[in-house]
This record gives sequence, C-alpha cells and structure tokens, in this order.
Amino acid sequence: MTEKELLNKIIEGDRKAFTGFYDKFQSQVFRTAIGYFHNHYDAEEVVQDVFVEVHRSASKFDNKSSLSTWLYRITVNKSIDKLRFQKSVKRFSFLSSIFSDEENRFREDIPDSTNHGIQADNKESEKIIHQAMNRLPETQRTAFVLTQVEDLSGKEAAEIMKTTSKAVESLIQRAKANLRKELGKIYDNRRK
Amino acid sequence: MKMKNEKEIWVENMIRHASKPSSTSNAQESVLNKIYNVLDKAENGNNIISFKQFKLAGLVAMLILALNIGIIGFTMIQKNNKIENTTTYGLNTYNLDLY
Repeated sequence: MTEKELLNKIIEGDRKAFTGFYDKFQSQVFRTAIGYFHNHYDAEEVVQDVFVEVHRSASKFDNKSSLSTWLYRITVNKSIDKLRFQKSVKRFSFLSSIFSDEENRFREDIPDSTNHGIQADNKESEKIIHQAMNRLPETQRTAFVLTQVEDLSGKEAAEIMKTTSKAVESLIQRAKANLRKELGKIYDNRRK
Repeated sequence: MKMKNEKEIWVENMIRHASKPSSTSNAQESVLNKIYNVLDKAENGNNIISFKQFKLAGLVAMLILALNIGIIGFTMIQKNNKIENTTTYGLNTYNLDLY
C-alpha cells in the first residue's frame, strides 16, 4: 500500500489503517518529541496531538514531500507549540496555580519518572540537558533535535524546516556553541 | 595536544547525552486509546468544552475585565483632572472679573 493509499484509507475512517499508521510512525514521533522535552509525559502528549492532527488533516497532504517529512513537520510544530505554551504558563504560573489542579500542573521541570530502567544519574542529566536546551532559540533546537537526536542529514532537516542545508549547518554549530556555554554555566553553578 | 579539563569533559558528555536521550523510544499503548477517545468525541460532535478550556476562558475573561477597569479608571481620573482645571480657570476668570 502506498503512502497516499494509506492516507486515503485514514480519510475514509478506516481504523485499521490508522492503527497501522500509528504503529509504523509512533516511535519516530516519540523520539523527536523526547528530543524536545526529555520526559515521557510531555512526549506522549505530543504523540497524541500529532496523530489527532494527522487524522484531521490527512486530506491536506499534497504528496510534494514524503509522508515522513510531513509527519516530522507536524511533530516539530506541535512540540514548539507546546514549548511556547509551557513558557507562557510558567510566566503566569502565579495565576494558573489558582485555577490548576494538582494533576495538570506544569511538568516542564519534572524528568521522566515512569521509565523504570533509568538511573538517578540519568534523570539528573536529563534535567540539566532540558534546562540548557530550553535556552536555545526554537530553530537551533529543532536543527539539533532533527540532526543529532533523529540522525537526519542536513538536507532532510532542511526540507523539514523549509530552509537550506547551509542554514541548518549554521544552526547546528550555533546550537552546540550555545549548549556548551549554557552547560558550562550550569557546571560552574553546581561547583559553587 | 591540549588535555581536556574536567569541565570540558562533563560538557561534552552532556551534549552526547542530549543527542541520545535515555528514555525508551516508544509511547505507551494507552496513547493510542487516548487518540481514539479524542477522535470519537470529535466524530460524535461532542463540542462540550473541557474543564481546562473553561479555566483558560475564565482567566482570559478576568484579564479583559481587569483591563477594562483599568481603562475606565484612567479615563475617570483624566476627566476629573480636566474638570478641576476648568474650575480653577473659571474661578480665576471670575476673580479677575471682580477686579
């Protein structure tokens, strides 16, 4: 079955096709989301948002790019939307805490606790990385996640980000430099 | 060759760790059920807003109300200032007339 046929079946409401699509692509979406959030909870929320969006806008897929590229784009957009939302929630946390219940409270700083194999050291590292990554501009963060976490080529990342390979290379260099700077600061603070 | 110090090694390890998150590469099975729940709600035309959306709407309404109160308050102060100015000017004129 071609990608277009698969999407057509999803548009027609074929649940089996949708489940097959989910099984095929959920790990790709999850990995990308983990690259942004470094915790299970937020990554799963992104997976949910992405596949709901796929179901809603399957008819809009124009075949100009591959299905995987289209899915990466949706994942990147949903992750950035969520990051922006989390930042705005953090900004108004004093207000939202009045309305928010314990379950829905902001979880940005909570590292993955549902993953049984992860050791305490890993959790601490994830927290530190998340803190440093949060300081990166969105484009640098996206270039870093796509090329370093997802192991995509500069060309593939450029297609997803709708930019040039050169621009992606530059973004990765700047992302790494900024990460080194931020991690250096964190290291110094921990030693104080 | 320059030896890397402890800080540089730590930073490089962290960057390597950032490239290879330690979490598993799969979402839990329950995520698919959640997706179907959302899709079912949409297909059944269930447009009842969630509690989360309700709270957000309440927050926005409060902000708009606060903004309106601020604008009205500011306008009233401005008006009062104008009235006071006019009165002072009027009195002065009246006094001048007396002389």
